[in-house]
Amino acid sequence: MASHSKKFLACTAILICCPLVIRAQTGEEPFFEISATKFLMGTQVDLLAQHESIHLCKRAFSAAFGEMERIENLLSAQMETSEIGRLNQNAGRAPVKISYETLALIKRAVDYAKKFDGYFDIAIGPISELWGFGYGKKIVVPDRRRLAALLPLVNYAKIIINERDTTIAFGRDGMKLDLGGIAKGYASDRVAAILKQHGIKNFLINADGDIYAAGRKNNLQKWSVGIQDPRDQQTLMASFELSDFAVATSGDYKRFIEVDGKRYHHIFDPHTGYPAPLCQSVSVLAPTAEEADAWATYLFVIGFEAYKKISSPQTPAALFVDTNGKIHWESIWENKFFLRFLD
Amino acid sequence: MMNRRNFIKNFSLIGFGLAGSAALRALAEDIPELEDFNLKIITDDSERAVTLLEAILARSLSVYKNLKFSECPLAGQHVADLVLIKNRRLIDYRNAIDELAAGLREVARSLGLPKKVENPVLMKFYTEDPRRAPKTIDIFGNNILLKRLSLTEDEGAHQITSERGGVTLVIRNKSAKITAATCQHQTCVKMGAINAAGQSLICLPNQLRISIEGQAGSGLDGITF
Repeated sequence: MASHSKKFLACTAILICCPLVIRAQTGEEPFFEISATKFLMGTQVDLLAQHESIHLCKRAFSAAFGEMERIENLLSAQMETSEIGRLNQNAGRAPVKISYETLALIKRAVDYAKKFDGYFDIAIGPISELWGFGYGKKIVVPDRRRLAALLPLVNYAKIIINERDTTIAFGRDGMKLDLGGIAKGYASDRVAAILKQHGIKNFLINADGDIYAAGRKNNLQKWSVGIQDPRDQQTLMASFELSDFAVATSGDYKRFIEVDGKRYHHIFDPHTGYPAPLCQSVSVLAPTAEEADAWATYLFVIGFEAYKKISSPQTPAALFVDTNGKIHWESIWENKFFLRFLD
Repeated sequence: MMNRRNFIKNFSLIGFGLAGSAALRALAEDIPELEDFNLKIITDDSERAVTLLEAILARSLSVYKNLKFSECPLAGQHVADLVLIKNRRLIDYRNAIDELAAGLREVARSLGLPKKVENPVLMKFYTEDPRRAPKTIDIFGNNILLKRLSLTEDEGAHQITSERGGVTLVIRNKSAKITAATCQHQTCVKMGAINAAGQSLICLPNQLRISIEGQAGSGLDGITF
């Protein structure tokens, strides 16, 4: 009888302990969802992470924001002291020595420009400045002749890159770079690398609507992302799931003016110098934020009909809202990213 | 300066009551009940506060797999203090007898709360019920929480100033809208009215962000735009 009691107690003890052991083995530790927001690179940057250590996340976020500040100080066209600022002031007269990091990004941007037949061009600076977008000036519809006079300066082929000396020169004085179509994406990728270096595997970076999501929100869910309705900034038109992928959206509603009922926004067709007229918004999915950012700018300019012609298995998936408000998307959005439209 | 009474008032707008029917409502809607937890602390030693609270919360709150954490610097002088709201009731942790309350008493003692501090940080540990209507609107300038307004009570026009000018914020019918701004592009004015949790009005030139407290887009983690 005594022996049976001991066995019963032992079994009971094992049964009670089992859930604790299983729980420990499955790693069911309390997780925190840590978030932080900061104004950087002329925009709002949100970081979100799932981790058991707030301390570690705070350190990682601090390093991540610091990295974005560093990149802003390198790439901002509005800062005279940035490397892009120095290029814009001097590279039309003589080669300007810059960091290899900036040079490598410019080189990739030029590669995108070649691939995109000049419909994405970081030499768009003189046009952006003339319209006043991004320069803290009043936005105005410029005089047609002044615009036409500046158009020859918008030419990526005249950016002379010397990798050996790490210098950049411009083929024409007056050329100016504007990395607005790629810098945020590059910065997001750098932030992702830093968060990963700190051991954070599950996080989401949102830089002014350009998002990179790593890992998952939890065991059951991937990260969940909404797409804004381009004609109602407080309404979402769809949502989808994202994991180890990026999405970027280019829209005609972020910065614009309306003159005589016509909307003039900040994404220019480099061939005309006027706002690209074919889309209200384009959202692009890509493995990196830089690719998503560059492709979104390019596809916004060429529009859905041209996208259909160039589309291949290598082309990133895109969701277009055309100028009439009609939505175009491919099945991969639903099959792989679980896109669903909201009422 | 924010005194203790205002601190509690401002950070307990989600307030008292309403808890009685929570379980019944959750059952009726056939969704798991989400226990409401909201711990806010103003401190000038955020590193130490996090170290202390992280350990206590992980020990006491294993039920919360996803307790949210955020922090932001506050403008001006404040009374550093700690407020706990559970199931929409203000908890008197100084006299409660559970493990969490004991831990919070230890945190308060260790940080010397309450006390007046310069350059404080507001830290929040919380769960979020997306079904709850948003009540507060936070005004951030240059990444610092400048002020907090009630979305339901503080109707009227509020002048929000920045180093470069400012904006006029109008709160009416539980929604907020920027009606005028000193910036050139007027993007913030064109953003229209916000009324749902997590929505923001942003004026980049003035470095102002006006956000309705809570998570955006019914449980979404981010919005691409």
